[in-house]
Amino acid sequence: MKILTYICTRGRYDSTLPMAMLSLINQTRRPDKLIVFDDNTDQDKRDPRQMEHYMYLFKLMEQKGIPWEWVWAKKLGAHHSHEMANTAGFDLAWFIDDDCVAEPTCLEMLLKEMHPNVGAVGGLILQPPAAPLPSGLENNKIHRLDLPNIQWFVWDGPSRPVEHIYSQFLYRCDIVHHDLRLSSVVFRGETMFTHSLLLKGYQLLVTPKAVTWHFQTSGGVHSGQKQENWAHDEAIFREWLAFAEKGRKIFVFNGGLGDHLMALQALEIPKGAIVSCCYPDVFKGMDVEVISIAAAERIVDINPYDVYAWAGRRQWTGHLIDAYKALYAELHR
Amino acid sequence: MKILAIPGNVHTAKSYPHWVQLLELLKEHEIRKIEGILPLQQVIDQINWCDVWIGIDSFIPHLVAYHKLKRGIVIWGKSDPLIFGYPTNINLLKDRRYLKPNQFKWWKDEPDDLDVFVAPEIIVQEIERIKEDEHGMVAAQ
Repeated sequence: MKILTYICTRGRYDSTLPMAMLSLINQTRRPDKLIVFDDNTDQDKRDPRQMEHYMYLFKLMEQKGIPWEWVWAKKLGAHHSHEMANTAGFDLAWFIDDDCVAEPTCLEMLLKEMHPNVGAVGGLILQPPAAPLPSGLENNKIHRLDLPNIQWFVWDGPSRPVEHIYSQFLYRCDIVHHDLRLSSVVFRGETMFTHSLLLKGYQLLVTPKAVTWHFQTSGGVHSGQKQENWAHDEAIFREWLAFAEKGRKIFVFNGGLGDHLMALQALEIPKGAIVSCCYPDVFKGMDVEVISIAAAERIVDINPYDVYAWAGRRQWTGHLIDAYKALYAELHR
Repeated sequence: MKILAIPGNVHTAKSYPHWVQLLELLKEHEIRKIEGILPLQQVIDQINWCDVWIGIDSFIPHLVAYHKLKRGIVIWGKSDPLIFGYPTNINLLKDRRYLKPNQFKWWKDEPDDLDVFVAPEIIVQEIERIKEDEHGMVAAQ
């Protein structure tokens, strides 16, 4: 199993970021790669090779044989970095926040729970002094987002199944995708991502044996965000959840006429499905609901439906009809 | 022979640059050319009219495949017929070394290259071969 570890960072060069990196470097299960996604503004970003403490970390990674990369992120929000990690060709990916320090056994403990039917595993994210789990709080339910996250409290025992995880988790790559419609605050982004895994039939677990310490310093990816971004993301989340829970299938053909015709040769579009397309005439007479691309964008992130991006990422050499089949087998699994 | 030429409406690096010479070489045949945007049924009617159609990597081969219409000649350049084509057609690719490395990138940024296409004479040879095959089939009947 190839495991990528990564950190999305902003405004924490001189506080917790080096601590977070060091904690990943010192994992008992050595990661197969470490990436730092640097989301600092052009005005604030600095060359880590010019900072003494980062040079020590780079040397240490070289000594330990951990390949690393420093990526100037898109500055559109952490979800874009998460999606780059998700599609970077690894089996599993694990991220911690840039104001956290993972215990050395954290990855090892998360990995112990990553059975074939499990899509994501989270650990405890404790802010000292950490409180015990309040009685009555058992797991993270998708329809009880008003309750606190069980990852934030001290508890023991076996791992617990949850319906979503929204703090720092190990996940199975390239099964579901981060919703790039969300604003740069990425509110509900991790909930949507992990709940998508659950809807695909994977279990989500939180194990108390994997511990990360959270220091919540100033800076971070939420700094300088506009208040309306939270409302924007909440609205996207609500629409997405309502659609996802209905279990209706959506097909998105945001390409040329030829692509529509090729897709029709590849796919069996069931009755009652939603078809979002550019050439509605192609679907005349079919018992489907045809909607515009703009209408689909209100329901789902259409990026994962792009067969060209999907095939390009995989350096696909087969016929595009087979790429359509494989893509939709993944999307509708 | 009744030949339908379908050069395509939008110029991209997939567009065949030698249509004028090709049609000149085929002038002894009955030629129709699709220009502009037609309703799909009219395109299908035109394809049903011809003995063979000649096109490029556009929606036409997909339309033909989807509706199971007659085979044609497809002129390829930088796009890969193994990915986007159909073995039922005659796929004329000059050389696989001209294929663009990432087959799935947008075409709008792809530069033109006249060298990547077969010469018009090669297409004429294919037409002659089809004609001979059809005569052979008639004679055999």
